[in-house]
Amino acid sequence: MRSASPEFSTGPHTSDATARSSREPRGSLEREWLPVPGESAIPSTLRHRPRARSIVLPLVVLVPGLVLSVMLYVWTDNYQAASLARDFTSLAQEREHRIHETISVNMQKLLSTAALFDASSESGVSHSAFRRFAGPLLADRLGVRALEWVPRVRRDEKELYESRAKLEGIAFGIRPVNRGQSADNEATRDHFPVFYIAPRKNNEAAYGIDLASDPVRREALERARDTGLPAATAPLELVQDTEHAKSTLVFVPLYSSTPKPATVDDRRERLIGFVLGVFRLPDLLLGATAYLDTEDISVALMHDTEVVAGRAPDAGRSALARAHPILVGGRSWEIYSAPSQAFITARTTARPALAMVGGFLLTLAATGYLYVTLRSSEFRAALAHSERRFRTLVEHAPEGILVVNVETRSLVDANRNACRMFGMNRAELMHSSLTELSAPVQPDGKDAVTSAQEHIREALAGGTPVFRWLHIGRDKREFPCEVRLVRLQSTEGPLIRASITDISERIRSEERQARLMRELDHRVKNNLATVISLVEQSAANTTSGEDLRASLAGRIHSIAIVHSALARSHWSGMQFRDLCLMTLGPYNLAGEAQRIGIQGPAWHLPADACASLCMVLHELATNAVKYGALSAQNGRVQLTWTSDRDCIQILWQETQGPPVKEPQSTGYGIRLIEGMIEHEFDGTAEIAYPRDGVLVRITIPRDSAQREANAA
Amino acid sequence: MNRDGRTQRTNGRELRETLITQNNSDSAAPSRHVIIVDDNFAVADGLRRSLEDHGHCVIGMAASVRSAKALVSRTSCEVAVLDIDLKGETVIEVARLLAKADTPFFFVTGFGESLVLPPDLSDAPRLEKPARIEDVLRMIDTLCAVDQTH
Repeated sequence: MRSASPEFSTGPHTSDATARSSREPRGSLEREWLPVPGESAIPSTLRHRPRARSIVLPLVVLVPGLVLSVMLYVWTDNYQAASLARDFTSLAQEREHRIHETISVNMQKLLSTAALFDASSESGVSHSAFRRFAGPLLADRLGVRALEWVPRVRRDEKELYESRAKLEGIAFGIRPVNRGQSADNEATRDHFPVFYIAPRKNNEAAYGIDLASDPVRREALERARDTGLPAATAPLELVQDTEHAKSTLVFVPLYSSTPKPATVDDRRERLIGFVLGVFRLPDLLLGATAYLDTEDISVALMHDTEVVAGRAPDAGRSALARAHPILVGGRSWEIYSAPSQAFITARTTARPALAMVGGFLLTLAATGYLYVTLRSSEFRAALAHSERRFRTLVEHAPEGILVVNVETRSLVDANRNACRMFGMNRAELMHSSLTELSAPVQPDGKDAVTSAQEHIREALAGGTPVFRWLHIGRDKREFPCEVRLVRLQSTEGPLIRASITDISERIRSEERQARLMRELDHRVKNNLATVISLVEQSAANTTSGEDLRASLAGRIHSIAIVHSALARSHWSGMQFRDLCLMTLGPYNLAGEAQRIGIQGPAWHLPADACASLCMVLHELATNAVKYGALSAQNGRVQLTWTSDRDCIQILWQETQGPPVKEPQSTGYGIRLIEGMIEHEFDGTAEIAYPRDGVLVRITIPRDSAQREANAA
Repeated sequence: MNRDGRTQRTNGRELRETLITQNNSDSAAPSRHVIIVDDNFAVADGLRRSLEDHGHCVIGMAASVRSAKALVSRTSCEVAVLDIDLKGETVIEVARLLAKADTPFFFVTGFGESLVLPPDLSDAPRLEKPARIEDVLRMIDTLCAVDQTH
């Protein structure tokens, strides 16, 4: 790459730089011209960067806001669930308590009945007495549905009891629970027939049933006998129960001795019978929860995993469901409670969801507001920055800038240059009216108001008029300006910006240029007129064609050299000495001694005097060359001029030339000399012809020699 | 060479004399008393000679406003030829003096159209420098003829 452009590879240092600059010419140029971005040379206040703040801050609000909303949801939901569980637990506990109570009350009834038997002799309680005692206990029909007396009937006492039953008026015959099914140990064991029943109604079918004939009943029966405590059977369907509801039979053992025998063998020996309570479980449950709202909670009584009363629980329907264990008659039971759907629904609100949605909305609103606020402040900052930038553009514009509100006819803005132009400070300028700042009559010949209205109308129509205008500054001085108008976009009404350039200097320059052109034109024409006149006069006074050619060429040449010298001096004239050197120089031939001596004080000639004096000198020199001193080898001319208060005197003295003879007639050259001095300078030219050399004395009044200078 | 030049000159002069004779005989222009105001001697003197060659009488020449005014008041001319710029002065005062005396005049100027004269003189006839002698003669004749009809 480096050797690719050998014409640039002037050295090892530059080749690197040129290779880089050829790759990225703009970049390297800008690196040279501009300070490197980030350098401390660039003040940070000149920068405006869009801030990440307007993104970050809203996010800082948004994310925690959303998280908080979710947390609010979780918290509210937990609170609601806890409240639901508390409500449910409280209700469930109430039911459990009632069930406990009911069972306890009914067990008391059973124990009271047992106490009745205990307090009497074996045959002391008649059937009717039993019924009278049990009747009130069973009045509520909730809990114990029936109380029974089940005596221990030994094998040999069977007939005795059957006859006693007959006596009591009970249709009685000892028989197994399930007819036709005889127990395995029928022959050897004691019988436990149902002997008394209260209430009797609907229970007649139970008389005489040998409860020991059924394994379920026998299990509880034997347990009660052996432990001496009330024992309940597993839930079973009673033969007389047409609804197939589950019941449990609770046996309370009675012994022949009080207190009850201490050992199992003793108890077996001394057992006389059982007081039996029939608990119909659905009724028990109903009785316990009779006055409670059953809609809220479903309650069931369970044994093992079987529902024995109440509504069956829907497995896994609610996490709130609880199972409360109780021990009744030596058996484990469970009170199972579960909230109903209605209970859950009534206590489950949309509050958590609403809280979350509300949180979301609030967060989003806050985020949005924050974002919009930050962006708008950022936008305002950018706007202010841009405003400052344009302010600088306007403030440092080379033109004076005024902004005019067309509706209110007032100035609304002015830059520094405008203030400088009008020589006012900003406040003064802003309080000035346009009329005060404008000359009454404008360069287009119209009055200021009419002219301004035309231009402003054009600008309002979307044009950009450019025109000359005469403004007036504070010092009442008029100054010509070039004004450009343009309409500005604005909400404050129609605004017009005027960009004003003071063109005084330009106009002066243009005028100077035009004057120079006119001057040149004038001089060229005067020169041409002079040339024509010279041609005619020379022709009329010369007899030889060669003389005519030579004299004409010399005269025109003298006009030419004066013209070019004056042009160089911009027609400001020149020193007489310079004019002499210029005109007479060619006669001092190279290699020779100075043949023409020049001496005199500084004398500045006005431009108009130069051409004539040049012509005069030229004629004198020509004459000298032709007839006078300069025609001889050693001839010399001494040109001196002196100046006094009134006039300037020029002396042309020829010496060492050939002997002088006064000419018979004056040639055109002599007439030109005399005519020019007399006509143009009001002076005199005296030409004398002494033998040793021509002597010319020219006297010019000072005032005519400097007339132009005075006039200018 | 000398012979040739002389011959040429002689021919030129003869031709011009013929023209003058024709001019004089055709238009029968009368001789006028003329003053010339021009700050350039060569031009003024050339014009004087030409006018005299054509039968006019140049009664004075001036190069400055001062001498021109003196000339105008001293002599009684019939027509004046005025250069406008006289070494930085303008000939306007002289022109006004002439206009006051009802003496016809015209300008011969190198300024051309660019020079704006005061309103009272803006209608004055003008010739552009360098002016041809024929134009100058015709202007003199016209102005004097008009002057006489008034």
